[in-house]
Amino acid sequence: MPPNTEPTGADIFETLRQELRRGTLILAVLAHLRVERYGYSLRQALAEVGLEIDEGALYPMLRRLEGQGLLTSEWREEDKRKKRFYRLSPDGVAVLARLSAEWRAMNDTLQNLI
Amino acid sequence: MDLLDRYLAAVAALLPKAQRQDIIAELRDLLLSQMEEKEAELGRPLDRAEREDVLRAFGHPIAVAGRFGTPRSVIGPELYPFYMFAVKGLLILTAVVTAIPIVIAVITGHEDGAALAHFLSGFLTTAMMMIGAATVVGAAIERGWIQLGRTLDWKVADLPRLDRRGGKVGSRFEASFELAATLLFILWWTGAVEAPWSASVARNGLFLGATPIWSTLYLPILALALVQVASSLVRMIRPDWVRARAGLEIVGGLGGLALAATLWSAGRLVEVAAQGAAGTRSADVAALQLVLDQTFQIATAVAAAICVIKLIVDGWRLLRGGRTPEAAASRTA
Repeated sequence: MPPNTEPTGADIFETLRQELRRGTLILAVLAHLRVERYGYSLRQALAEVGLEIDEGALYPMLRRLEGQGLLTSEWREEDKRKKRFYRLSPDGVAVLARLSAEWRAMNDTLQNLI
Repeated sequence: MDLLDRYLAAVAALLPKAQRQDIIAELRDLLLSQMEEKEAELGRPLDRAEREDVLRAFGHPIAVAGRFGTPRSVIGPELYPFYMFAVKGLLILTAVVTAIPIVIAVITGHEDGAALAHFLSGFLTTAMMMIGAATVVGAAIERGWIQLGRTLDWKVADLPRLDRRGGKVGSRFEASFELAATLLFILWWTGAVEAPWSASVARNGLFLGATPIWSTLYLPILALALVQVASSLVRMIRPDWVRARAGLEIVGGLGGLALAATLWSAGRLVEVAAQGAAGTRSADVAALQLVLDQTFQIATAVAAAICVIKLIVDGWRLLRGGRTPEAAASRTA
């Protein structure tokens, strides 16, 4: 009998959950970087509010957002080690405001649907 | 060298030079922070195996470096359906072209018992090359090295009409069959392959010889076959080009009519010649010649009638080919 390769309900749920989280994580990262943080402390701050994010995804995301001009960064020494600190740029502040409004509108709509 | 340094060196080797130092410095801080967190949990320094576990959990150097690269597919999601359509078309074409010489070999009795092996070998080699070529072209389009401009612009009115007899699928199948048959004819006509019936006729000591009219008509018949190839290709690739195909069919129909008239006036089209023992049966040879003459005359007349019918049908298509149901509806409204 050939092995069953059909995705299970759990697989489908996990795929959809990750798709749902992908966009919201960017919003959460931008929101948390209104205060200056370095990567590791940002991950811890997100985990404290219940948003676990894989470092393998977080660091490339920070670089991409910086490349898009939404974040600024600088190297500084802390705890005897050089760390890269990120924070929202003026463009990032504007984009975060627009994304937040969009999120609230979507949330209001979805609240009526689900 | 420490495990961490070896790991970071492996990642660094795969990163773009401009960002290498920056990314590695940040990754070093991150990994050291993870190790320190683990040490704080355990209340002691990590041993070699535990440090290795942290690095292994972070990911393979190729995967880690890949996350920092520009995410880009060879063929992106927008281009992919067009790429797959092209690959399927190329595979069908490859199968047809590969099968032609093998089918001819089978018909003419020159098949050596390994037809399937020849087909598979030829098909797989050519198919791989076609897929490779399509992928290279697709990747070049994806990266903007080949500009498509307005090539992919389309209109709903250009799509094939579903109310046409046979529908799109049947029409494409018929067109591919038509194309294969015409290509076979061209191969035979240009002498690339032997006539399928020559061997069986020769075994009886009788030979069919073409009369000089066929030499005179060599180029016109080849030209008509090429017009038919063009028409079949239009039917296969752009079934919505109704007028283009009708135009080609009309050219072919007029040519066919002229050809039929020339053949009719030429009279005898094949000559029967006998050799050896068959040469003594002159009455049989004459009877066969008569039958063939009559058969070819009837066939020429039928071909002429078919050409006339096709001309009427294609003329009608040419006149109304550009009309869409929407346009017709708007005119009657």
